[in-house]
Amino acid sequence: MLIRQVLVFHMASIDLIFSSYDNEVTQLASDFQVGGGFRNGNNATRTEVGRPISSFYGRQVIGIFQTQAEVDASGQTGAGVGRFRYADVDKDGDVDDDDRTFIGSPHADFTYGLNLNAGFKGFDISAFFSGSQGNDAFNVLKIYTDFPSFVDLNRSTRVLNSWTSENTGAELPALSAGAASSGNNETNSNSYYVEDASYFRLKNLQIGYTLPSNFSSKLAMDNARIYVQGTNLFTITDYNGADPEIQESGTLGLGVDYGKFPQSRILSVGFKFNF
Amino acid sequence: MKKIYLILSVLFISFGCGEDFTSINPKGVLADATLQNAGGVNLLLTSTYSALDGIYNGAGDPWFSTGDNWWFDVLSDDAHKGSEDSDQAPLFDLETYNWTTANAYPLGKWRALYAGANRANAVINVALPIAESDAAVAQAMAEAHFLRGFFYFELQKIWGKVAYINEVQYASNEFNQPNTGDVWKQIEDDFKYAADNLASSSSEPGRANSWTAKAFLGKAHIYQGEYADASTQLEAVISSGVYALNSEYVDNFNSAGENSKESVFAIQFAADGGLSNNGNRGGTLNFQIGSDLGGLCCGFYQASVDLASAFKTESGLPMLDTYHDTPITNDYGLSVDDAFTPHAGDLDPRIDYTMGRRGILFNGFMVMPGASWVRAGAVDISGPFISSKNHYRAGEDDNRGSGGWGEQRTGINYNIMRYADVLLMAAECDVEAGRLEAARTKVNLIRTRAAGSTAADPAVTNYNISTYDAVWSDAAVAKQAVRFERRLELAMEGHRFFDLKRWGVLAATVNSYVTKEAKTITNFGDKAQTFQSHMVDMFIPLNAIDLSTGTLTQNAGY
Repeated sequence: MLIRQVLVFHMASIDLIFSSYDNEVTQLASDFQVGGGFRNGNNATRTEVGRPISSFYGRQVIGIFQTQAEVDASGQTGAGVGRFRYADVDKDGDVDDDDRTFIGSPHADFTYGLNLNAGFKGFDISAFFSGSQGNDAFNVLKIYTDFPSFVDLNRSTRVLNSWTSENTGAELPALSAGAASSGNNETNSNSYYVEDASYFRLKNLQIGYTLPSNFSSKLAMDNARIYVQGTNLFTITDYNGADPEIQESGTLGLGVDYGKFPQSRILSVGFKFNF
Repeated sequence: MKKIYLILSVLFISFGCGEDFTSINPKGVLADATLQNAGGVNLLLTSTYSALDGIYNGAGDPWFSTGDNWWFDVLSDDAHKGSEDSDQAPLFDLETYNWTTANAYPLGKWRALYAGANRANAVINVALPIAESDAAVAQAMAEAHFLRGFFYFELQKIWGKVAYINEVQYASNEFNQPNTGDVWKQIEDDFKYAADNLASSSSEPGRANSWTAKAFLGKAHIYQGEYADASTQLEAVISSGVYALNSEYVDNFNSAGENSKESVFAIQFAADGGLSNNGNRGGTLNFQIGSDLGGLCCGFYQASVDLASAFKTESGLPMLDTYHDTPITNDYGLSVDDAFTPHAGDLDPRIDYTMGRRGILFNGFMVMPGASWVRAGAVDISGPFISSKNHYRAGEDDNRGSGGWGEQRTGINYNIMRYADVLLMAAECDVEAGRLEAARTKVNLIRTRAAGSTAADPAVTNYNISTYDAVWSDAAVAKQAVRFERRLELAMEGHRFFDLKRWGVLAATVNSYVTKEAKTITNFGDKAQTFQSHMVDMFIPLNAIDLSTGTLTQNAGY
């Protein structure tokens, strides 16, 4: 593994840090290892020599079947009109387990952090931003929110954009009883679950005001400062999971998001008096 | 100074690491050498028996790997999964024949059976060097051969193409073996070894003896269509006089009859008077619901309308071809407040030891009230009947056990093989050899016992069962009668799917069943896909193929 810090600005009140790494598996006891298990029979990742550790592995969704003719010609197990269509990766004319392929990587192109500090008269402000660019996540929870795979739980609003003969450009396949969906491997590892998990987040912001010394000395204080602080105030991301800062579950399950409790937003107010 | 260097050099040379540094046995580890005695071998053997119920760390949920094979009945024409459709979605996918290779159920079964086979390998590996000098060890090793044969038999009958790991490969961690074909030879060798080396009676209930091994050797032959060889073994078991039919049919499913003369080989479940890990954890979901019997759980494993209809009789005999022309009267879609009269036509009395149905006394507790005991609704695929053989019976609180979340774990033994099964397999062999009258005699033994048993519900007046009294002269009819008797006698005991498979009629029977069942449960017909011919061999679990990194190959068609 190679870790490099590309660029460091340091000015009086700005720190900017970029970092990136290359990851390549060079040796394994077997041809590959699987990881990121879900639903008791599935694996989201495959780790093999020559690729980054914990790469996402499964079927590649290339669209939704629009006509019976397309279905008949596909050679895909479980195919049907309105169902996901997968790539015939090995070009053997049928679509089965042999057509699983690498469908994403949890490793970022780069991550970055930005520290800002400034002051004017009695006011001071400090902010810390962080972000990650170019990494994917495997959003396991979509199995439950987007597909009929467990006792009728609440669904995501995404299912409103399901395929019908009128809504042929839908993102999700046709609504159906569970079997048509799972029989087509829609609840097994495929690229629908892989999302860009890049984000930019304001991790921390603090704004303070130090009372003028003539005022504080009247109150028998050396100095007095009041501040407000916010943690996790906003996040810019296209990721649909609860939190793009994925809490990892083992080295072979990097980037596999099982929906752990997201980080809280915290607002606090502070008073600091020195006597 | 030089002297000090010299001393230091000598010290380094003397106390440096030797070659054996990396091969010292770690302390506190249970090494094979520690177990290489009669006591140790027996402990390993006990752990092998303990794998019969499919429960071990790593097999997933207990019902995936369950030893009583209940969910294979769900794949056949005998049962539905039960509960709501979306509960245990992977089983719904299996029952509606939407099979994908990442399904959790077959994976759990696969893992548990290999765990069992490898525990047997562990016994053989440790016992082999000392077996010649210790009779108890030799006996234990022969039991391990039997158990290994059994675990591979199960793998063979489910998957067809099986990777075989023997005790040498086990000992050298060479687990990644290819699945190039069947392993019947190895299975037969294990059963033969056990038959030749085991004592003729068991030292404790539940242990295999030479007759157990012969019965399973017969079963292995019959699964290969080798009826003459099967007959030799099964007739030897029959004429030994070691086994007999219980006078009461129900004694195969209650505590009074555990390890009775009819039990050839059973999983020794125990409720231990309450919280127990030794109850049937794989069958934990399979109890009726509602508060009447104390709030049991989960409403899985329901008998099909087709199975219930198969118990209809005419002049006391099964309606071989016409039983499902009209389905048995049932309360599908009715609420408990709607009026309902149970089926008025003649019925085989075994129906009410096989399933619970509305209006009939259930397992001695109370009259089954209908929909309030059935978790599946009319929108689900599972119909109105519930299971009985696996369920507690009134007055047998010693069989009631529960687990951590209040789930039920019964102590009722599951008979992997009982004497009725032996008789019916032998009858199949008779038919194949043209000994139709011998087959009729055996089938009539089964029917006579059924007729002579106490009725499950003494209030029922339309039980009507008789023996086949006319001479059997048509081999095709005899074959059909023997197979039908096998379905009735052994229904909801985990055999049906594999019987249909070995008879070569699995796909046709299942597809015709879906059509018949849909006459009552219309949405089962809508939801079920076609059972395709390649599905007679279960798919190799995708996870196993992946972990083998290509050594295992998928069965054809998946």
